Amino acid sequence: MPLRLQRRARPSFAMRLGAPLLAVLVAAVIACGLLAASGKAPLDGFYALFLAPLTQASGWADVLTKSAPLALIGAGLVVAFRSRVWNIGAQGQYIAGAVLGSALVVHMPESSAGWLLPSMIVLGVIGGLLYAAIPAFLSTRFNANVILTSLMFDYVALAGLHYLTFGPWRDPSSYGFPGSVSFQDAASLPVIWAHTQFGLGAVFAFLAAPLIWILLRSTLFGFQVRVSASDEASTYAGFSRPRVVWMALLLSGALAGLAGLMQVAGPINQLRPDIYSEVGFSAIIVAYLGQLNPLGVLPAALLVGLFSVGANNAQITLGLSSSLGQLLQGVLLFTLLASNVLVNYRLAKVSS
Amino acid sequence: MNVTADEKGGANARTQPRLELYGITKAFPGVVANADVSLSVHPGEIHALLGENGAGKSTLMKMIYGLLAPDSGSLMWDGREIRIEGPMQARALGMGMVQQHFALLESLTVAENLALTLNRHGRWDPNRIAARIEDAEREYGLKVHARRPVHRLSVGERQRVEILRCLLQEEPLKLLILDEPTAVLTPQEIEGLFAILRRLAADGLSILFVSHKLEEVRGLCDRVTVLRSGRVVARRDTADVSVEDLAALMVGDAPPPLRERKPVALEARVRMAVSSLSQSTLDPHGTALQSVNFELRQGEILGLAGVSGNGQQELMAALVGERSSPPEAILIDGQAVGKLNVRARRKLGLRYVPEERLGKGAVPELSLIDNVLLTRWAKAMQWGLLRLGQARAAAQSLCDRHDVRHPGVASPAASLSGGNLQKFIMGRELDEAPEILIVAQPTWGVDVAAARRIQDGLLALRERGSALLVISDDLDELLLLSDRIAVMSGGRVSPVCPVASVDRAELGQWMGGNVSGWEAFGDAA
Amino acid sequence: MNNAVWISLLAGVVVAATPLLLAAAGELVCERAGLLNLGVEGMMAVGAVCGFIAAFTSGNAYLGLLAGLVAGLLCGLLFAWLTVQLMADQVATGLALTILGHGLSGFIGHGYAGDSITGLPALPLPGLSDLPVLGPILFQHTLPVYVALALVFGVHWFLSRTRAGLTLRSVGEDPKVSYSLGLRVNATRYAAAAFGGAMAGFAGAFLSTSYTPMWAEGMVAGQGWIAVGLVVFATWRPLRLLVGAWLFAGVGIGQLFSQAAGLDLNTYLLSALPYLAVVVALVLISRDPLRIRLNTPASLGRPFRAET
Repeated sequence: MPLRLQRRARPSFAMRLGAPLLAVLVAAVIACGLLAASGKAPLDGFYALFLAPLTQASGWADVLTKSAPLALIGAGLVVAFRSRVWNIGAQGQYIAGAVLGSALVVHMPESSAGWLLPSMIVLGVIGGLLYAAIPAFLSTRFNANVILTSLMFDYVALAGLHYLTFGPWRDPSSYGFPGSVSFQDAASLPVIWAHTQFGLGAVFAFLAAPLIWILLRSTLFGFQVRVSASDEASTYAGFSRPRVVWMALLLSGALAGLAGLMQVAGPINQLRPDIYSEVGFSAIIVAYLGQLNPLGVLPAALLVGLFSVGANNAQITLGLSSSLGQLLQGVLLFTLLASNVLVNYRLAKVSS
Repeated sequence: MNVTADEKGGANARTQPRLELYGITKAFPGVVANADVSLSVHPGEIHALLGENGAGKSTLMKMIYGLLAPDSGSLMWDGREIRIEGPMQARALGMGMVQQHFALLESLTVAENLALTLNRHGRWDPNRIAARIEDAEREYGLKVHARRPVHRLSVGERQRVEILRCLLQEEPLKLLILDEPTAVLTPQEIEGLFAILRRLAADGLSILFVSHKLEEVRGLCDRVTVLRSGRVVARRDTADVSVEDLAALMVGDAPPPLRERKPVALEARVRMAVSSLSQSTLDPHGTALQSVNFELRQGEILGLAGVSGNGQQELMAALVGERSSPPEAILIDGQAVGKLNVRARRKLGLRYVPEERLGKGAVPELSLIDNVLLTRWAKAMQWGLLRLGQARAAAQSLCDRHDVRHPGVASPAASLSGGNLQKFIMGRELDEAPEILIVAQPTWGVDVAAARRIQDGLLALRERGSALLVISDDLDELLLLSDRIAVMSGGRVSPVCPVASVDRAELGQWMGGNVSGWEAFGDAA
Repeated sequence: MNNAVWISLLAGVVVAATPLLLAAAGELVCERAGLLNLGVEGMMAVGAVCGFIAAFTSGNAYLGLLAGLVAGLLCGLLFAWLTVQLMADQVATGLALTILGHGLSGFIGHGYAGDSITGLPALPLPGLSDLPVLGPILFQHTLPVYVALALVFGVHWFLSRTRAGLTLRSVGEDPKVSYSLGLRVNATRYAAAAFGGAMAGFAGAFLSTSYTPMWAEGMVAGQGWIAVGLVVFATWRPLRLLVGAWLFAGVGIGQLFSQAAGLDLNTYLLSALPYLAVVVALVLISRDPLRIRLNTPASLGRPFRAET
């Protein structure tokens, strides 16, 4: 029986919740197919990918640790994307926050002052914020496309990170390995789950989402973001588009910068050339998977975190490519976008 | 209801009908647009489909032309039952349609637009296409500028291009559908169009003429089918029926009369003054403003007539603060406001209702609660937060007071019908009792009852002593509502004259771009 | 510098501009039909890895080009299925394609990193390659270099002089109107997306079979994004792609030459130059909002669905 899409009278709330679940299911099936295609037993692969990390407490801690920066950046991106400001440069803003936050430690590696960590956090936020200000300025002043400028600055940030970690900021006692000195305790966020990397930073990261939810729902800025669905209506309401562009970029940039700082002053404990590992793109997936709702970002971040821990796990136990995690995330975003058609449309049998 | 199928018919009835519809039904979520509609059109006949806004005329035409598929019913073409899968097939059968919103591509030239549908299977040869256009221009007396990009054409010229396209199409044209073709034309242009249509019909073309204007239907058409709420309520020969009868058939229960127009006992103080306002346009296909002057007084409705696309949108943007202008070009109560933004002007008591309702006057995907806040947010703030509970109550009472039918105030604005949405938007602005209200196309596409309500609201605001500017391309409505009236054409505004003393024909001349009388008139007044 | 150095520098620019031209010409056609496909980077990555594997397995680099083209085409069709059929957000779908392309290329190329192949042979054009100065700059290259140059002119001709090109422009300008005129909107968009994908895949295969005959993860290194930027820079006019592609390629080549010339500049910082050049070019070209608005295909990024 042929099916066709039929527009719903209004968007289905149930499907808004159901589409991500459907997407995960389909993505998991595709993942097993990929494993089978590369000559592994699909069920072993499925276990390694999605279940193994959850069989141990340390696995849970890993998933939470991985998810934290994604939830933080994702919450910021929700604001940007809902404003129709396509900030896809979270990667660069993340690096900028990490770099600026590390500057203090690099210059006073032995310091144990109490103000060190708070200053680093502030600098991390400022780093991401300033880095996001560049595309904001170029967009509002010169009308330059935010997608392209914010992304180009990803590559620029990466070049800068390499320059610093291979050059002036390299730890002299590192036997030639790139990277800064390791951070002392006074420059590190405390671990609160013993024998894991799950720290205080992660806890605060998960708090960002509900705060953003309140911001979007109840404040004037949140209202401006919601009205941004239509440019003309924003003008009619008397809102300034440049202002929304600035706010959306600064906010998402600041959160990305904070996430970068949290990682170098937390689980990584050092400024290294490999601190980013596509976290910016994963956060984009988290934002969409959460249906651009700040509260949806939380389960979405946990899920993507699980995917990436699981992929690492599968890489070790089954000898698969390290790209598996990224591949699965790509598949997941695809299946989500496809499932989302069901929010506005229903499948109906063709009458003929 | 007295439905009499036209069995005896005119001379046409003996021939094979070109198009017959039987029991066509079409429902959209929440509304039945057409119910059991039957209709027949003969060769050489000009058949009117009459009905008020929202009666289901456009939906029916789209089903004939293959843009929509009927839920049930059958369609016969030259006596054979067919199923039309899409506009491509409709054209291949020899149908042509001129839609209400022209189907022209703005950035392409006239020739390119016509070429898109010309000898689709033949060799691609721009020269031959140009030659065919010239032949057709001569044959039908439809003058177009083939090399001009469409965005530089007047509305009348665009319509000629559309008709020419139907005439030129590969399969000889047998049925021409015109959806509200006169809505955007000046009175003079309408006469020109009718002359062409009569000639085409005399050559054997069937024409389906969709309208809600009674005089036109009586003057042009042979037979008329009247639609009300999606159903056929009458079929008549136009010769046998008076304009009054048609009106009664179209509307059914007569709408409540318009609110009595009371004189306003206020001195004619100027609330808003525009002087020497000239401005380029930001829209690549727009019209620049050229030295616009007029005054808007308290206790009056000033009507601004004109075919849309003559600078109305640009003028509105400048008046309300969406675009800034030289400070002194616009005064509100003597204060220079040219540089003030929308928010600042709203604080001074200026409110407005834009022409586009869904997407500007309301955000389609947001709830009615949020849409109430769209122009009232400045008053809804407390400690930096929006008072959402209060907004919900405001939305509820707004809908109750203005008879807005809605599936709940938390549902999105897109779920409202056109008429209800316009009542919602107008109500939102009227309830704020603005000192100055600027409204574009207040009742465009709105059914009679809703239009009456909206017009009543405007008159009540006038009595209160507010100053109203109504911009519309419906000249009849402006003549009904306004105290004084002016015409906009080519980015310029004519002298303002009292409605009591205007000559309809002269206004029509002005709307058509003939501005020779403006200077002289200005001196006389 | 002497003439020989200049000539080899310019020849290097022409070669380095090739993947940009190929991908951008494809993306331009896609955008003129109203589809904004931000997945060029990912499609190039998939094209590169498939091209390399095919060339490696078969021993024929031309088969590699073909494989890359087909792989890119399939990616383009996937994009069209989501955005045309399922009306998914084009920006999100493009990003999804980029992420998927990165992951997929890494996944299937896992075992091939470090392998080497014989790259495409140079095909000097008889007669033309012996011209002084112009010969070595333009006419002593591998096949895709010529294809890229021809493609730009071909796309220009297609868009301005053919019925199909006119149809494609109409669909990009206003799909609703085009549909009501009986044009095949969805089919046109599918075809445009497939072409855009094929050219991106071909560009990727050029990288892995000719430019640097090898496979390494991340070898596309932002060139797909630069190609997207190039389309804006060219304000959607095919011939202007040439200017932009040579400009951006020139910055990249200049960076290599300055190193070769022993200038004391930091390699890491220099590697950021092409991306900064794109930003500067975008800023210069976008300053006039009216110009961008006039040239942008009016329906770009908006889904279309016929009512039923």
